[in-house]
Amino acid sequence: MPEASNKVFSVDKLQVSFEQHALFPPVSFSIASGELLVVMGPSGCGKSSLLAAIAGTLAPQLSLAGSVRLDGQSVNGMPIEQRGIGLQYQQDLLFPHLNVAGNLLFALSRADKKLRLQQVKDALVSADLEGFENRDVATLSGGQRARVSLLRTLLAKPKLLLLDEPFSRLDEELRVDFRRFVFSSIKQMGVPALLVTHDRQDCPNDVYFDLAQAKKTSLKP
Amino acid sequence: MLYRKLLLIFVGGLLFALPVLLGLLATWLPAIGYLPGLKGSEFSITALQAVFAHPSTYSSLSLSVSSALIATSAAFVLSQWLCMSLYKSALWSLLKHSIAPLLAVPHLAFAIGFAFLIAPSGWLMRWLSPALTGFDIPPDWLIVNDSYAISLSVGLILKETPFFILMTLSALSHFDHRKTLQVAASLRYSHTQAWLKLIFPQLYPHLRLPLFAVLSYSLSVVDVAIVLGPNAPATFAVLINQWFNHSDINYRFLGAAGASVMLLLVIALIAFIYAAEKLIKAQSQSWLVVGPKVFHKEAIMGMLLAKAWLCLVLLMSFLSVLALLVWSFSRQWRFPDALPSRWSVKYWEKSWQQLLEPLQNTASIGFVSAALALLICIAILQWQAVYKIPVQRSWWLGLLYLPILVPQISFLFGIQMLLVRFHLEGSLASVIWVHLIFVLPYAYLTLSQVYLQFDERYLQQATILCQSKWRAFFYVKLPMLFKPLAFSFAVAFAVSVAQYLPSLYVGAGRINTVTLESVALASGADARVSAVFALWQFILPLLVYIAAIIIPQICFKNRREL
Repeated sequence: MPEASNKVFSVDKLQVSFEQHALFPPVSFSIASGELLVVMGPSGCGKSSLLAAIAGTLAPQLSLAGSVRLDGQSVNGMPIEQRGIGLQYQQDLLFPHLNVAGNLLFALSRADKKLRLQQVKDALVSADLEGFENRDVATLSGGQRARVSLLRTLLAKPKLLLLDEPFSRLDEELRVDFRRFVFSSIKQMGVPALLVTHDRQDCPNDVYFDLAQAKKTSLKP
Repeated sequence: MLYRKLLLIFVGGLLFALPVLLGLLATWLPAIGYLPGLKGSEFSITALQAVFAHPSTYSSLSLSVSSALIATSAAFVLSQWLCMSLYKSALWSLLKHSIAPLLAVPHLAFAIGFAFLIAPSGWLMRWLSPALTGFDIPPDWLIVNDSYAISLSVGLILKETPFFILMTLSALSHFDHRKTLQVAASLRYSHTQAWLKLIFPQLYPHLRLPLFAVLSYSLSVVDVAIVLGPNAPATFAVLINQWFNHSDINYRFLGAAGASVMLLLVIALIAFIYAAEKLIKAQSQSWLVVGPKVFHKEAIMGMLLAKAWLCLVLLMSFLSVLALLVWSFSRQWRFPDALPSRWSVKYWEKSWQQLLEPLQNTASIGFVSAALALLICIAILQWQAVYKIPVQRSWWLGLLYLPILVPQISFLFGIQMLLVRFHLEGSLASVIWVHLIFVLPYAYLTLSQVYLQFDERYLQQATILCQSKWRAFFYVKLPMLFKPLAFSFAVAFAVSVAQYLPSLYVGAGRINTVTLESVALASGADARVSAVFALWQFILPLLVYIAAIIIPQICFKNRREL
């Protein structure tokens, strides 16, 4: 049973348009904590724009209609810094001038130094990367980089996690492992998550949200 | 692989480093007393001692160091601040597009125009008088050639800021800055914090060499310092130049010693900045990851201030060039009037006779050195492309930058002495060769990124289709790269036109160029004639730039991708 009230994320009649031309029909859905909603659609149907509209990173030429509510508040018009939404892209975007610990510490708010280092250590252990604190990010493998990147996003304790085709840069076997890691992290942290992809195997259960038709669909025929 | 790398080092060393090293050596020897041509056959340190015993040396040195450090650091900080504050704002595209025209103005032409702008009888004063200043005659102030080198510093700042901005824009293209800033924002960092903690540390490695190059230039520039800098005492580079051109030939030893001291000075200051970088990096490690400051509204004032500064820089540069135009067409211009009362093309006509030979020389030297540089660069780059030799290695870049980093005055005397030994000085060919030394790095730097990003599979397909590597190269690869090649040529030409010391020393008084004439005129002649010459120094590369843009467009009228 999904938890009720404040941890829910909902979107009501959201639509992104470019010069009067809508990219997709108005969409409405809601996500509970620990729940993952997968959005799929053909290339160019506006999946990334949907994420951008929710994250607050929409290009200035695009316009937004409808409402986005997170944690009981409307986030329309709020700057990115205040939304508390985590962004996970295809590229890991690990900062090359900081080591692994530095990248992870970057996501933590100001607090006692020992406490922060302990949080980093615990996070690395949970991802099977114990002892990686002082490693140069350039020396990590693709799968390790992806895991550090997700750890960084989650350490910031986002109220909502947005994933833009996070697996497409990894090869097949890494994809399976990383997928498992992402899904279990979402469940464990109890954060609502929205994942955009074109790969059917990225759906943890058999339901996904079809963007072109603006409704939940089943994978089963 | 190793053998090819070594071959690259060898070729690079030969082309870029060898002339510099030879010149340095041939300058160090006279500095310690050895110059057979002038009866110096014993090693001694008298010349070096004499440099420090000379009455002007210490004041010249302090003027050079202060103006160079102030100009370089101010230009650097200003450029970084402008890029940070105006990122993706309304003026961002203005920033990006105004850089190219600003950089196209040669340093000397800009300096002369800037002098016209700020002088006591200059354009700014004429605009403001008598209404705001109450002056009826030009005040007796020393603005241009002031004794604290302030005009020199400001002029250098105005010219170097666009250069740093260009280098920053190019450095930004090496990583996904947009997404980095978005991720940082989602982690609750303000734009400024994100820029300082994430963007700038990734930019700086690409800005290091340009920073050193600008520092070296500011310390050792002669022509701009003659026009804008203090006169007595002058900056150290100008002082050395005076020694090299002194009527008493024994002053050459002093010059060589001074040039060597200049080299040491440049090395010391570059080392200082490098050490400062390491120190700051070490000290800032914990600050980088301490976490975001509690979010507060970004200061609007900061953005407004940045917009104002950008407009100021653009305005001053634009007005300096405009000042040259106005002066060159003026016939009568009494003091407090804002514009000339009578205009004419008289001075353009009058100067034509005097200009003919320098123009011919400048143009031919420019064309030949640019063409040669381009040929050499294409050869090196094609070889690199075929054998997939990486280019961003720091030692290779350092080698390329050597002619730009080593101050010209520290090795040109040596080159001159070597050429004199073999009776090669004073000929057009030797001047072209010396210009080539300085043109090559710029040609390479502007061409390399585009050339090496060329998909070699086009060439492979073409080779298969026409069964000849050369035909594939000439009929497919070169036309596809025509635009960047043309642009590189234009840059190389502009660099050659701007050369002062090389033409002065190697020309031995027999080869006159527009730049040489401009400097000579700037220190005394009629301002209007001076303006005409300075404008010609600008017009020549401008015409080539325009041709470099138009010719590809005509040739490839119906080809959108080219």
